Amino acid sequence: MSAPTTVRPAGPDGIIGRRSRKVGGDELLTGRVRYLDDHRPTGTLHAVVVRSDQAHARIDGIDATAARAMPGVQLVLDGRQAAELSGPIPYFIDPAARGGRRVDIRCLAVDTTVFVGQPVAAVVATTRAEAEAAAAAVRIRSTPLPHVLDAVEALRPDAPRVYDEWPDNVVFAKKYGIGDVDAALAAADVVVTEELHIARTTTAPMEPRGYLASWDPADETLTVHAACQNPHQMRWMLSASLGLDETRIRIVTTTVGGSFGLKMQGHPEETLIALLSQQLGRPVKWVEDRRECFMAGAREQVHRITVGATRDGRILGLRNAIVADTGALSAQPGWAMPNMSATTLPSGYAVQACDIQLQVVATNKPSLNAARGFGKDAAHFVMERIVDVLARRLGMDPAEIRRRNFVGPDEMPYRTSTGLNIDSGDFPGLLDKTLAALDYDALRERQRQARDQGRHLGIGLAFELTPESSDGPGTFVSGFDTTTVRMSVTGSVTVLTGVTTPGGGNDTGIAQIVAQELGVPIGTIRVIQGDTDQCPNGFGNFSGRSMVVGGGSAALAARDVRAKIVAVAARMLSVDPDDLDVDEGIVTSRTDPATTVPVAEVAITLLTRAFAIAKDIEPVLESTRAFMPGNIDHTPDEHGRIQPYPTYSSCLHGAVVEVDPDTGKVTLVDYVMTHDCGTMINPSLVEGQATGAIVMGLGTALSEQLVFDDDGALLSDRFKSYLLMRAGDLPELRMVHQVTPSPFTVHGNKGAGEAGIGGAQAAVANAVEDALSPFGVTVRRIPLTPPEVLRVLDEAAVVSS
Amino acid sequence: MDVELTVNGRRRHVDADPCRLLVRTLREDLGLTGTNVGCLTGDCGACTVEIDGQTAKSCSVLTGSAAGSEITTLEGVAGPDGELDAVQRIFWEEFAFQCGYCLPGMILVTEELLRREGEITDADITLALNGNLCRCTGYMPILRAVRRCVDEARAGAGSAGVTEHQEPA
Amino acid sequence: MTGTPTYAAPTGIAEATALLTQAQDPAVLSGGTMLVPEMSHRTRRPDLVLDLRNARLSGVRVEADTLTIGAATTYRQVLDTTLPGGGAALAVLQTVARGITGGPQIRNRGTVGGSAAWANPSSDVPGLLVGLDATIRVDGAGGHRLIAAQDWVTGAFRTARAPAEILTGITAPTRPRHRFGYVKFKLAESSWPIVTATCLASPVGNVVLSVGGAFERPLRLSLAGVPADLPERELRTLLAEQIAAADPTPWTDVLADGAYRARISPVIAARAVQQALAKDPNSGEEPWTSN
Repeated sequence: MSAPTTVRPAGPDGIIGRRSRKVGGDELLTGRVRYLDDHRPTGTLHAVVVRSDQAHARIDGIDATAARAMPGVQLVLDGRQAAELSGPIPYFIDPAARGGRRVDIRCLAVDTTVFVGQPVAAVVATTRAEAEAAAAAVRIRSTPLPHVLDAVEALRPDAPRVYDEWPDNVVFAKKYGIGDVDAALAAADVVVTEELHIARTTTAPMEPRGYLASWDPADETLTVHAACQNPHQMRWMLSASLGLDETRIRIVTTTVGGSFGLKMQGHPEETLIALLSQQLGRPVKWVEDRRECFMAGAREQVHRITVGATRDGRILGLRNAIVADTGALSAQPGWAMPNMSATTLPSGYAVQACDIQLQVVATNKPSLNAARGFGKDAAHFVMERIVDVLARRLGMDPAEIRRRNFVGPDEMPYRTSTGLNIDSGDFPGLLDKTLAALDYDALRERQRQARDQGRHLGIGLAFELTPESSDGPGTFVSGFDTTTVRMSVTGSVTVLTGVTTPGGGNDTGIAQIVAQELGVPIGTIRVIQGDTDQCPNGFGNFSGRSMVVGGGSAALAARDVRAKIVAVAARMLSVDPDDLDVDEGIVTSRTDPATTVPVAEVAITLLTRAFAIAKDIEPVLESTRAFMPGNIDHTPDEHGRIQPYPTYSSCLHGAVVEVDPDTGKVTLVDYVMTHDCGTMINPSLVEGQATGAIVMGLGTALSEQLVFDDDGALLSDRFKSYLLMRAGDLPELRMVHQVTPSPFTVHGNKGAGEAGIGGAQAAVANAVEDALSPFGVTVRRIPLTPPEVLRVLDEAAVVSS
Repeated sequence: MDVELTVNGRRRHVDADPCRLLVRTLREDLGLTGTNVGCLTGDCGACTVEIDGQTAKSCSVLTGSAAGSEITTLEGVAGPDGELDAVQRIFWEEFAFQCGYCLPGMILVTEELLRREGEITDADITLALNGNLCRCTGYMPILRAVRRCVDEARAGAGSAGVTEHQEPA
Repeated sequence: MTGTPTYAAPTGIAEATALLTQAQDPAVLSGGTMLVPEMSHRTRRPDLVLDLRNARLSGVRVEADTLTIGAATTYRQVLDTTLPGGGAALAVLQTVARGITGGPQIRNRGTVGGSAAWANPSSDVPGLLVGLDATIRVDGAGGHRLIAAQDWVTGAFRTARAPAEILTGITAPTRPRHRFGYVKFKLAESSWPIVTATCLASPVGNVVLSVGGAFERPLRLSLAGVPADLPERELRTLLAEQIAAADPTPWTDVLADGAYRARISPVIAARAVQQALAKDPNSGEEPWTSN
């Protein structure tokens, strides 16, 4: 979007770096694709989940008599019955394996409910309307127990316990970082401390979750169509929770209408719907209602952060105590996100003395659910906020203080205090480009003039470092993935890959890579993802990994097939294999360009004349390869630190806002992001990811928050109470690219897709504080809704008086 | 009750409860699953269809209220041979969608906007799109695509009202 | 009630009111943008849905100095109206229609009468009608009643309409020589209005305004002889005093509490007054709105 308004036709397809149009775009545009709910096999029954209306309660009984008698009802299942038929759901990331606490996670609550909305029973009926009516007739008799809805309160010794068997509510606690922070802070000329709060928000893709399970009683196989990100992991989980052999389970990922972490698996309904289908011997479908979808919380954290710095702005040490509210535990990986808040600090700043204490705390709210940013976003909100607070204290320009503390391009790879090994990057370069795009000096002058007219313009900068493509030993967070490239007798190419796309378009990027590496037109390639019976073992979509390891493994497999094509073609053309090029489906001699043979002819030759011209060449036009990127290191160093990420994308945001101090309304005036994810396989896909993430970040900075009443019921349960950004909320978002290739991936690309959330939050918060600096405000909370901005102004007025 | 609807140019009869949501009738009785359900509160726009030439959110329309109407769904936008129309083509070229779930609203609202006479400003485009949520794109490529649709339609129509593409201030 | 409701689309008022009288818990359906989602979520479960689509209740008319809006007139129809003589009343109504939350799909379906009858404090129309000094007509089996806009909303989501009555039309003086201002404050494009202010100013600076969104019922205020150059701060103080004196019941929802709404009410109201006073009634300029 460096020239965002120019009309730009799609480039020639199929080459890395080009703006190839989205694969299958015509099917999306004409409504022909099938999302989960569009699959409607004959005889499908419909499930509705009955949920707890208590934040914490003992279940005394469930009365489904009336519900069972209602029209169309086929089955009502409660937690006790489900527990006899299914086992606990294995964790995506087991907290116990990381030294934390666990509880058994069941698809339906058995004796106790620990949040409003927890599944307690399921109703299956012939139609969804019948199931809804019957679900409303299920009576839950329960005895309320004391509940706690706030993580800081939940840490008090006398707080109600979410899980009776635990001595307190701490799920997980850990210290991160090395260096003598006490000494660093003692040596500092200035020390600043703030307590920063990030509200609970949610992913809210346009398509909610859904599953369609079909148990075939004749051959005892289970097929689950799912709107999900990790089909192989879902198969394993269902195998464990249902006690079925994995070979009897097939997961088919349907076209997914966005996910952003929501559809990483571990949800109770996955086991539940499969179980219901097993019980009934018929297909059972469950599609989440939007109100249910809003329960998937994320990002709710409190950070008490201190940094000390020299007079000239060099940060010497950082201390941060994090309290993260995970809600009730679930098998979904969401609870682990705050770990990444801790390890991502101190971001791309050269601060070698860090002491970060993390507590992940259970409360009687719905579970934390994986969300774009995966905790890294919070690190940036907090770090960028405290850097600005420090700059203000020192009277320094926020651009300058960042420049002084950045890890330099010549210091890469750089090991941070928490153990991350930043592969590459040019952070001052990002800053220069963003300042230039903003016309920073002129903007500061415009700000001064505006102030003279009583208008409050603010400028906020924020750096963001995004570790991507993570690997967690012993978990389903894997740093590698696997792809098969298979050429048929007619030369058409099927790519079967273990990564999935929730809509972002990595299938297009993978097709481009295969087209280039194999030398065939992109139109001859079909990418198949998400089907466990077709695709090789894989880990699906998360952590900006799909192009790094999905694309990387596709490249390796494509090279194998190309080598076979070249070997056969060399024999057909009687030339040396080293003399041959393959491009756009034609094998050509470099020394004699008139000597050519189409790839399709080579394919049919190998596969039909294997005992003739292709003798001694194994007649397989197929390769399955895994790509394991470099830079991952799980051997703990002398401080016990590991290095789970191969690549580190980086970006620098510049936000310009105007604040109305009479209403508290923040209006976005301008926005620039300079983005560096290394080599771009398809710049339009990168821009799409980054822009989407920025706007999600802007929403969480300004208007999005999940609000609960005192009894733990969610109040913000529709799009008029949980406010996503709309087109009219936004200025032109401008994007500038910088490319520092990763040395550790096949094409030098780094993860793209998560960068944007934390940087946007911080840039907006910094801009609002800058705009209101004449009032002496400090921004400590997001979202900065108009009422919150007035509260910040009031707070400053009290302090100054 | 028997409800007659003309959907994408074809007359259809369905035996539907008149209080059934139109989106359910279209998706489940007529099999037109190109219209999506996103919220059932009229907020997201994924269920947008055209009823008698005007866009509507079909989660907020009862089937009885649409009886006798002419309805166009996303499936009805392309030509009979499946050829994409100009709006669809430009959306594809401009990367104006990712997961595609919001496309019923985005495409049909754009088609409606293009039928309007007179100049269409950037503010008009924003007002037209404000009823649709998109969580993937951040709206920028959609705004760019709709601007291009407007410009190309005006240029193609050869009218005096061709609007120059404005660089934003 | 447990089953699906009966559906009826009567062709006239008499038929409609007769059906309403027979029902236990009827719902009158106009654009459907409020009622239908409530039915989907089972928060409203009527035994009769009375659809006004065939009842010939839509359209905008001007007669003498009176603007008449049929109950089932959509915002789209309001915007497409090119009647001469609609005065400030039609102009402000069109401004409101243009800014209705939810995009063209909602403006195409949503109706002025439907919004008035729904009486959501966080909406444009109830406050607008008070600012217009409008009159609301309801019809029942026993005849019709005329209700002043100020008496229409009796509380949040409550009106003076009886369950067996139908809102059939709205009239308002056109105010041909008045200038107007309309300011709507929302937290974001997605949000319902938090505070709205409608202002009509006579040529000599006599000002009537209404504040919507902030309180359970819209508030009507008036100021006599406001000079066009009155500083905003003074205007705000005057308005704040009037609002305080009226002692309205605050409206709180998850987006903003009553204290916030009350606090910004004089700010938004003052902006509407300033807009009205600054506007040249003869300029023929587009009606406009702003945050």
